[in-house]
Amino acid sequence: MIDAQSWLVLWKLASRNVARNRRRTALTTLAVGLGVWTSVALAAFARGISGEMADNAIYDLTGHVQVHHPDYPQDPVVSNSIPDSSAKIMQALPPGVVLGSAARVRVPAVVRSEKKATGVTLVGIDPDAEHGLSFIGDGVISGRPIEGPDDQGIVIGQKLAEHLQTALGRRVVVMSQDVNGKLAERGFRITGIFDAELEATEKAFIFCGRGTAQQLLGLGAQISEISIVGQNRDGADAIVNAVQAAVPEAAVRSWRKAAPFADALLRVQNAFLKFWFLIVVIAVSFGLINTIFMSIFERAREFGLIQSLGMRPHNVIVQVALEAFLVLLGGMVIGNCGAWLTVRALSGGVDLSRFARGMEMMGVSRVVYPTILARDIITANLFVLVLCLLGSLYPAWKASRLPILEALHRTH
Amino acid sequence: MTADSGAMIVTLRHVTREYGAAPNLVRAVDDISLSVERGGFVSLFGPSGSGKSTLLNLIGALDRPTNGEIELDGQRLDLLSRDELAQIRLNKIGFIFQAYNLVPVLSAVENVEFVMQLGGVPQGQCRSRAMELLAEVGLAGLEHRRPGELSGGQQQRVAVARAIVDNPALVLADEPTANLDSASAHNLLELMRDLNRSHGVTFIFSTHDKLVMESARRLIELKDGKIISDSCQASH
Ligand SMILES: Nc1ncnc2c1ncn2[C@@H]1O[C@H](COP(=O)(O)OP(=O)(O)OP(=O)(O)O)[C@@H](O)[C@H]1O
Ligand SMILES: [Mg+2]
Repeated sequence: MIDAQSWLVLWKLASRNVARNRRRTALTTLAVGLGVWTSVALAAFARGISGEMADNAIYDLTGHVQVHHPDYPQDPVVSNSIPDSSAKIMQALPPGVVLGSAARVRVPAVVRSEKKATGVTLVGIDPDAEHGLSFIGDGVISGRPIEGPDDQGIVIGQKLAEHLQTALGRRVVVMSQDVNGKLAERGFRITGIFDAELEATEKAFIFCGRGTAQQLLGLGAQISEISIVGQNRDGADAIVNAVQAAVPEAAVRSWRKAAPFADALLRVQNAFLKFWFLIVVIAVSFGLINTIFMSIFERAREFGLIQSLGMRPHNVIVQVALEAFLVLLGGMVIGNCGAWLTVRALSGGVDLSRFARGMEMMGVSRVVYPTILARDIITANLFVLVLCLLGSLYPAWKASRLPILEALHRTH
Repeated sequence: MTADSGAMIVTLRHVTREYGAAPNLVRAVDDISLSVERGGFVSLFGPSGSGKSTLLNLIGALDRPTNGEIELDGQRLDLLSRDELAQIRLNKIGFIFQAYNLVPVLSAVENVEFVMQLGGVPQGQCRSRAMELLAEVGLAGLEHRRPGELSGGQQQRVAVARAIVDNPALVLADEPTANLDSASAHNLLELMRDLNRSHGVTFIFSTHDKLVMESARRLIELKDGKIISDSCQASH
């Protein structure tokens, strides 16, 4: 349709015309750059918030992959227990795929101080296995942490301690059901108080040694769950498949099912970001189209001239689109570099503590680390390129339809 | 005028071009029939508003007649699409306008190459042919200047080189000397006449200038869109 020679001419005309009005080209390029920059930078910030949120949910005793008794997810009671197959699972997974796994007892319970009682989740842990997997393995603790599976003390959250009007060193009573459906009750001394990222977590969980919990509940060597943490969230599905193959009788699920709220928010965010990109691109494209119209108007005589010399109408369209393409390309380079620099400058994290009260409710940390995802860069740039190029076709088409004689008679 | 149409580069039959509607209707070209022979050197003259530009635009496939037919090098222009007209302008016609003939972002040699490149001539050939022609029109050494860096007369010479570069059947020039001083105008005319002789290119040009008229071999006088005289004169 357009031969190599014509491409050469069109390219020459387009590039020189773009270089002609430097001020205008610079401003338009900057506008496009700003659009790309805000799109990518905002996406990075949003991804930082949501990633943090999902990671917090995962760190909150969820893990990337969970193994349970098939009935446990619906009915998390003591009798829905499984044998500890951690070793078998770790063997089934290729080395390096997972960071670790932790087997826990995890049952509903009531904790009572002298003043008050409240419903919580009693978690029996092996502290060595929890390092790097959950907040309790690494959390800030006053007093001392759970030191082994047979630790006789109990660790509760800061907020819960306030709520129960109790303190480190005091005693509480924990009540639950044992495997036979009988009341299991035991007094514990509070040996540690943890401080979690989220207040809800501090109120929800109390921790004791796994062996101690098994003894209290008559579980023997049975446990409630195995939590596995891999390299990152996206690797979870592969781990689920491998683990399910190793323990076909158990229910294996990824964090997406275990923390559906976080998963749903990530999905909504994907849609929202696309919508945001669209808004930005529409704004940018209006500016661009307007500028192209201005430049075409100023050069009406030239469009008349080149067409009178025999340039075909569709080549005029291509020439104008090429001019738009050059500006878009420049804008995309500026925007992406700007976004990259911004994110790099903020790589130490953005402190949101001033707004943290509201954010915490949603499971967001006080410090957000902007994260650039390849898919956001690709989506934002594709939107800009495709939609703005399509937009430029309108003035380009107009230019190709300018009546030649009228255009030729325009005075400069 | 009624000779074998193969000898005629352009033939108009009862061509009318009207502008506007009923009360303000202007008949810029009024039922003109005309043939121009190959290799001709024809001048259109007449008072302002007599229809010279309109007639040239019609012949040059830049405009369509309200009525009548135009045959250019054996092809009926009134039957062609926009795209086909562009192709005709590219392959068969060279234009020289009164002013602003050149694409400002292209150098002199690039302006001349432009029409060859649109026609798909390989780059190497374009460049050497354009350089040759610029030398022929007396612009050797100025090939790489942009139009803004050339005088009016030099710009018109570039336009002449461009008009004849891909051996058009016909070169149309609408008052090519109107913006030039008399010396430059005279030189440009000489150049056109030389090219007409040496390359056998047909020229049709409009002018107000007595001097320019005198160099034509055929003089067509227009008034109110009609031909009022059509005469041949001995060439000088
Ligand atoms: N686009 C147009 N719309 C309306 N009328 C027009 C248009 N172009 C030309 N005319 C009219 O047609 C008539 C012929 O115009 P044309 O430009 O062909 O004259 P001309 O002989 O070239 O004049 P000049 O010597 O001044 O260039 C004039 O009356 C002019 O007003
Ligand atoms: Mg005129």
